[in-house]
Amino acid sequence: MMMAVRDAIRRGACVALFAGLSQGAAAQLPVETLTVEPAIPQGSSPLYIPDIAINHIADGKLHVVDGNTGGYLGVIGTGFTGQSRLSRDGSEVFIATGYYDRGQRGNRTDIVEVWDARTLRFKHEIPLSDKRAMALNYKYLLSQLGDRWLVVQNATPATSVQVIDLVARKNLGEISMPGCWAIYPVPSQSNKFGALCGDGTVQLVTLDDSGAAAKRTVSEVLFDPDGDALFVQGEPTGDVYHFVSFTGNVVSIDLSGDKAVKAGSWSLVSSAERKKGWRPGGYQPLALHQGKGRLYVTMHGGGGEGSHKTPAQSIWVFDIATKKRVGKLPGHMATAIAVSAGGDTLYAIDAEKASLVITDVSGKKPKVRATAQVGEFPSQIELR
Amino acid sequence: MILQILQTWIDRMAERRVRQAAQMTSRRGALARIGKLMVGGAVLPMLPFDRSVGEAEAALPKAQDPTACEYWRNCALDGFLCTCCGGSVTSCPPGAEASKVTWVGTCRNPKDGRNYLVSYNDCCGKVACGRCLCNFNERERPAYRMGVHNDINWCMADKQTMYHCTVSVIVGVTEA
Repeated sequence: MMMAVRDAIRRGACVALFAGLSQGAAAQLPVETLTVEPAIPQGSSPLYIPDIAINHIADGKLHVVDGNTGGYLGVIGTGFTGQSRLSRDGSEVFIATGYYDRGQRGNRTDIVEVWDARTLRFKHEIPLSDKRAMALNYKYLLSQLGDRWLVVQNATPATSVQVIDLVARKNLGEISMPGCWAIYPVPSQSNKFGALCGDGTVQLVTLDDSGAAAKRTVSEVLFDPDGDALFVQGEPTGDVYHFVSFTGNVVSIDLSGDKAVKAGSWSLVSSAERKKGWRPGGYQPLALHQGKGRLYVTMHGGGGEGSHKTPAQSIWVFDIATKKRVGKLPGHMATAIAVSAGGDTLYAIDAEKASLVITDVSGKKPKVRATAQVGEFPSQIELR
Repeated sequence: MILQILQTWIDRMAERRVRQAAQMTSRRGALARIGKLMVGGAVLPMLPFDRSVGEAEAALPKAQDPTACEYWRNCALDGFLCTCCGGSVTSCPPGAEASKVTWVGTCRNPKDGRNYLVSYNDCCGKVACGRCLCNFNERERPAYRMGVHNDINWCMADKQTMYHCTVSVIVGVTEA
């Protein structure tokens, strides 16, 4: 090591001498001070992009990338199959994950970590049981209800959830959710969530003050998990979640009442397109902007049974008021999309290149503003 | 067709990773690996699981190659093939442990035209193998149908849950 340092100093001296001889009056560079960036820059628009890093799955990452420029802002480690979620106010990042004390083996510890979303510094952690679902990153496997509750998806493979009190920083225990999956917050009620179930019903669970299930209701059959399954990602308008199905139908489900009820359904595809196998595909196939009235869906043609994770050949744009398609964007091999808060920018994960494609959709013609390579297996985008 | 697109995507991703690795390892070794992957990613005339092509499927060498993503048993396999990791279609690589729980697929063997129930056990307790990443999803469903879901670590019920690779074991015939 010391030898290497001495060599480096010697080389540095030679370079300095050479530079002095050849450039004459060029000013000497000042001595520098090492600092640490205090936070991601003001004015940046952070996107939080989980990456399961499957080739070394014990070491997942949450990439933080600027949605304006595609510039890389920082990273948070997410451990072994960690799920991440921005807090409702955007100030914190929750990560439900686990670690072995020998990296690949040994004793396992599962936790929810709380990180500052701008300084990217660790704040504190709350214990989880080892029933935590070790799943690919999907929206709604970790959800915040109101300001107090954080609900974590479990799978052993029997399904349940763990309820965390964020204020008391305590794990309050488990609620069984047999045959049901994901945690959809009900925005108007800070202690209630929904879940999609394997028999086509939707369950609603209301928490009591101790974090236990005070009430549970089961809907009528609202979808067909065999013939036309719903993608797990849903995008809400108030308490109504809009899902898309494997064959290209939108199914809206209202979680506001006593029981979940269907609030409408319509087809993304014409009968001719349906015959040609145009379907949604990917891991986060929807982006909804309520203000602009636009729904974006990652679509592929020639699809059929088993094609539901296929990257997009085209991103279709719908007017949610008229339920008509109003445009088509290049597919960018997207498996995950999101729209900016203002509705002028569409973000897409190109699964082939493991890159982020930033497209300006404010004008008549879409314009790619930037692309940026991000990690290895990004499959989700979250922003505020 | 569409599965072909999906698999080509996986192949290209794998190729890109090899290219990235090439910057850090020997160029000659990396080129050899890229060559192998490009052979693996060659365009197929048809798919092993496309019902419409009937008996012609059996002629596809990849449908009978246990180290190919297109191997007929892999119709709902998402993960690293244990056949590329020191194991086989029915055995975990040395030192790993077979998962206690699994997801299942129903895949048609083009050779005999039968649909087989295939158990996709994960092999557990070692680091990710990182070879032959495949992603086929016939009859796969989201985790509200857990028994046919593949975006989750099926080592979840083992003491050592680290995901290593996946095997495809025939556990029954669904129809003659």
